[in-house]
Amino acid sequence: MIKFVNAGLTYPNMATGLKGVNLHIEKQEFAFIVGPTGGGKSSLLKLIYRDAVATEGKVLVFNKEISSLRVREIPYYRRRVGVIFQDFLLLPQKTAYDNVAYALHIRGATQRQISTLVPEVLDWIGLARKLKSYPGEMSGGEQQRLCIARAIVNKPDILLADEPTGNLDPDTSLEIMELITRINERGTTVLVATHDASIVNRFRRRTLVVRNGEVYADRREGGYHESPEEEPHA
Amino acid sequence: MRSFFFLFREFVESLRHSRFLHLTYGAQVTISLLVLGIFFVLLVGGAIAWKKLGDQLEIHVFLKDDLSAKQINAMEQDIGNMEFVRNVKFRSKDEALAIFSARSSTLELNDLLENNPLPASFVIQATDPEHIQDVVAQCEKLTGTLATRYGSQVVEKYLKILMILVIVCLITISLLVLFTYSSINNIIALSVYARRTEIRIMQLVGATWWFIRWPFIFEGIFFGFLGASIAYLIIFALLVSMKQALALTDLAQAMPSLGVDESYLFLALAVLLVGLGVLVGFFGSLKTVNNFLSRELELQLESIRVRKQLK
Repeated sequence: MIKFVNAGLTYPNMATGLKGVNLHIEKQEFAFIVGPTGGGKSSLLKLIYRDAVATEGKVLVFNKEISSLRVREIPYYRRRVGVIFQDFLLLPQKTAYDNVAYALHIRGATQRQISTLVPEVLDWIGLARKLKSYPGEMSGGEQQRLCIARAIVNKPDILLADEPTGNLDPDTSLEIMELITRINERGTTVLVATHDASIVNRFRRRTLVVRNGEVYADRREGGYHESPEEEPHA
Repeated sequence: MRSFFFLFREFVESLRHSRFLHLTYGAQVTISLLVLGIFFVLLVGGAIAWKKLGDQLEIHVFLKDDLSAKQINAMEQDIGNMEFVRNVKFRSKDEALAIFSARSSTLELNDLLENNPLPASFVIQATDPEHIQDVVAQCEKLTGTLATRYGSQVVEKYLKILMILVIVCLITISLLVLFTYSSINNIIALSVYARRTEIRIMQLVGATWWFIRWPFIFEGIFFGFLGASIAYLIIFALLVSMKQALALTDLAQAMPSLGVDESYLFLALAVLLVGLGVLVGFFGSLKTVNNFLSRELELQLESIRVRKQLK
């Protein structure tokens, strides 16, 4: 589903974001991307949701090279890739219902589809009672749930989460991670970038260690110890 | 159509939420268009007044004394049929003498002269001052013409000033249009910048460029139209009250063609302000949102540049 072939990302100021990345994420797989801040976790995700373009090698998603996408094709591509962020990126002047409905309006969904799907997703995510609440009236955990609801309402094939628990307390972080796991169980490919070792070790999923722009380790059995001695990934 | 209604609702929602920003936006557009409108009225009004002054310039074609009434009638018809002639009026020898006497009130010419020495004439008004010389040339070819007089120096000076006035008008209005465009652009940019996170979210959830653009375009057109309408109403009210104030003074008699009562000036002003407001609103918002959206394109270009550098 996602394939990096010797992919690299060099910024216009010639700073290296990623170099020589080779990896393959299968359909419906769940993988953590771990490593220190500035190591290249977010750059890797950006290459997938086309917020950055590889300057070396290839990034293939759905068997298509992402850098070759035309500008007008990008929105349609992004509808198949849900993204959630540490800082939620919600629309503060819209209610929880409208924040989620927004993603459906963009696809041209009918009012009937919207009024069926939005409460359904918010219920599934545990926000059934918060339909009319504004993001400012919600806790951090609820806001992140809302962000997840918006990302999955269009039933994307891939869900990318960039430090989804970065602003949350340990208990809420656990709840969010359990929710993301449930999304993966429904058939969505999930990639979670985090530097929270406790979460990675608790869920024991495939773990990619990214450091200094390189994938240092690819652990199928999962687990992360934050030890710098790990060998580069072959 | 569904999306259109949704986007229109989005635009109305945005008006409701960012009241202060939109108030500033509306005020800025109104002020810019008001300044433009006032200058437009002054310049065009001045040009119209000057043009009307030119319309009052007359050509005098003096006639030979031996012309019969029939010949004079034929000549009047010939002149009336000439191109660029708006009005022709016969002035008999007696009328000429009466006018001359009235101007020289100290002299009693009738007493001094046995015969009236002044020739009969045609007083001609051209359709516009630019063609006075053409009319004069045609009149000089007529057999009954003794001489012509039209104040050649006055006409030349008049035409020179008219040309300068038109050029100054065009340059000033062009500069003001540019000023209005850039000042409206700035305020649109501010509005777009204030909603950059929203645009970013729209991009991330897969909104097409047009889906993102429309609420901003609605906003640009709405404020362009609203600002233009308010500016027009203010100028209209100013001109009407100025006209009423002038009517009470002698100035109204002295300057009948200030342009105040020119209905087509009002129409031109409305077309200019509303047209400019709407167009600038449309293109300004389109351009500013595009600047934000073009990040997708820039990423691709940057990547190509860096790829080349790395090779």
